[in-house]
Amino acid sequence: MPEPLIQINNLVKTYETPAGPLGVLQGIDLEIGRGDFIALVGPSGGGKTTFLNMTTGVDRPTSGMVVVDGVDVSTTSERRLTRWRARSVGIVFQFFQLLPTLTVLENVVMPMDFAGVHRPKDRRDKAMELLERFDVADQAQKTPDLPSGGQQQRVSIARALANDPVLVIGDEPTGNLDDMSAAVVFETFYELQEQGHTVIIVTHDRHVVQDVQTVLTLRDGLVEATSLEAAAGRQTREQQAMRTADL
Amino acid sequence: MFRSRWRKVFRDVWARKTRTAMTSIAIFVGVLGVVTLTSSGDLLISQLKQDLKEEELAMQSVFVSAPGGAQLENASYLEALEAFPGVRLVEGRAVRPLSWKLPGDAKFEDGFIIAAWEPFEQIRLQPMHVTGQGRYPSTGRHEIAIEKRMADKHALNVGDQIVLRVVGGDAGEEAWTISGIVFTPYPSYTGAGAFGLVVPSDASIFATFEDTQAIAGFVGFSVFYVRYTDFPTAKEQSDRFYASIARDTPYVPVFNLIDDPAESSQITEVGEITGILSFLGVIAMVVSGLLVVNIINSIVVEQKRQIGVMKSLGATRWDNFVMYVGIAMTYGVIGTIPGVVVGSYLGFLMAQAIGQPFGAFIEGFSLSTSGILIGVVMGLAVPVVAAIIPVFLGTRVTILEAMTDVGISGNYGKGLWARAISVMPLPTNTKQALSNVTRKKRPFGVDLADADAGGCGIYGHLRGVCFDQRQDRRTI
Repeated sequence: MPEPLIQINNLVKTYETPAGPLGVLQGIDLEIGRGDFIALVGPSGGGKTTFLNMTTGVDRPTSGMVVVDGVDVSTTSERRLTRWRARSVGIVFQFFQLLPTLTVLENVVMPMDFAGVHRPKDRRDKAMELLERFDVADQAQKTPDLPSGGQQQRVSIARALANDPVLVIGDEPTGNLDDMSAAVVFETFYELQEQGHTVIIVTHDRHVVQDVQTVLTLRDGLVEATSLEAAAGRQTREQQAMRTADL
Repeated sequence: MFRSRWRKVFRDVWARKTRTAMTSIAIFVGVLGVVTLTSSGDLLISQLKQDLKEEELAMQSVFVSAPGGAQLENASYLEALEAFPGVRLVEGRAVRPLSWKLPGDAKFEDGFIIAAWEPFEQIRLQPMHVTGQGRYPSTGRHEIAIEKRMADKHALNVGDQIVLRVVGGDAGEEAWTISGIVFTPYPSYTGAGAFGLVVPSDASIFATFEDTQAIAGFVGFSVFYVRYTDFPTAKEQSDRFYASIARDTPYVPVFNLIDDPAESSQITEVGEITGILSFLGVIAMVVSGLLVVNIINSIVVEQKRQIGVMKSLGATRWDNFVMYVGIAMTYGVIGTIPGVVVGSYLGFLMAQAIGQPFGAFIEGFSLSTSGILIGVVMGLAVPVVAAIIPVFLGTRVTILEAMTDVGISGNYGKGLWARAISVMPLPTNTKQALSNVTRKKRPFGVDLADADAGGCGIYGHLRGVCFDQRQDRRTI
């Protein structure tokens, strides 16, 4: 059996709040293989974003271990994590987070400059290739406020892939898009999986996760279900409950 | 790595044109002040050092009055005084008030006629020099020389005539011809009053000793210039020399000045005054630096999320540090270049304008290398140094903090100020304004410091003016 890309053992994250300790992740054990496509679903406050933060080394666990591609991100120094993140992780944000004063093309070149991948003179060509791949090459010289939301998110994906990372993370990447744009963006993630990237997406949109290989439901800091059907069922029950509450 | 960092710097600077303009103007003003004041001082001192030759400076100047009707044997007095122990050279100079006017003018102007016992070419202590226009005047030919600044002020040239009111001999008005234009960097004193008056260069007329006696009707010297073998000897012997004038000549000493040629008081005084002016320039620069602190602080806070995003893309803290300090440095460059250019020119104009009272005559445009260097260094260093702390603190933010920042900390509303404001009987918007001021204590503190420094600058300037006035009074 091939070695998994991500190994998580007894992952616990507790935040100190004025009301007392708040356990967000309460002992998760999980293995995610290379090339897997994982959708994280679950109610707000269930620990989805915290889980992503632990996986990318953005936040440290209270206890437990997270190893990604052989790197223990729970104990590695911030300096080494920064370098590792630059080359191994591509993050797609809900609100795109493109730098407003740089052009679309320069936004995609930036991670290459930070990580020092490719020769400097080749970086713009590489960035253009990515923009062409995601059908936003015509936006290359514009500032990020000009393309549509869907186009901005595709630029954001192109930027996440600038250094050809093994792991692509999306924190509600379609949360700010209309259905059509969301579908296009999700298609892009499927393509990434087909190209061998490991993709982990947090989403609230159960329609877009229908074709996802694995769906993890996080509730109260624990992985509750690991199938699309279970997740869909859970969400349907949640929605029913919400509607009842509304009534 | 270099490319994206600096691309972002330039794009950010360009994207916020008003902010860039305001910050750069503040730096421009600071650099302008530093370069103008430093350059003018440097140009003045350089000119004085060039003009005031150490070997020509008198170590002691004894101002004297001659009793009316006395028969004076000046040659023998000078010979006797030169024989005084430790004395190497003694020269006598006469400075007398004189009324003069341009031909055709109705009104006479006040001026001074200056004459040396020695022929012009043989004067060794604090001499005047022909500027290249004409020659020294000769006795009995109705010739005078005028100071260059007088020639410039009244557009007089060699060969022109001016009318002198002659006091001695056949009193009346006489036309005298300008034989030469001379320049004298050393101040002359009238010997009148308790401490003598500085003779204005733009009203200085020179003639031979004999002609001057005929014009001004005076009977003797008004000052003895003395050069000793060395300055320690001058200090040791000056009182005895002063007494010997009273004892061995008919002259009555009025007061005397001791000056170390190696540390000319003229240069020292100019150095002190221009030093104070330069210090005020530095204060202006510091005030603009405090503004940069605030601006960079607000940029870093405003772009906290961008900092987090860039960190998530692989930017190290150093990358972010360079970018935001780079913004400050770019503001510095934008403000420094015109500041140095304009400041250099203003410094030259100021040196020309204020040079005359100090005896410095700056001819032809010249630049102060040290003024430019200080301006460039301060213009670039002050914004960078000012940015270091806000950038250091701002780029310390973690990705998580940056992405979840809502602008207030977890303990918001729990401090003493916050509780005090909450119970004040004020409208909500006023309470909010007060909360914002007390919540951001660092910018508030910097603003206060800025205002303080500005106030100190004004106060310092006033003190400087007072100091200058005291200097003037002391000279008088």
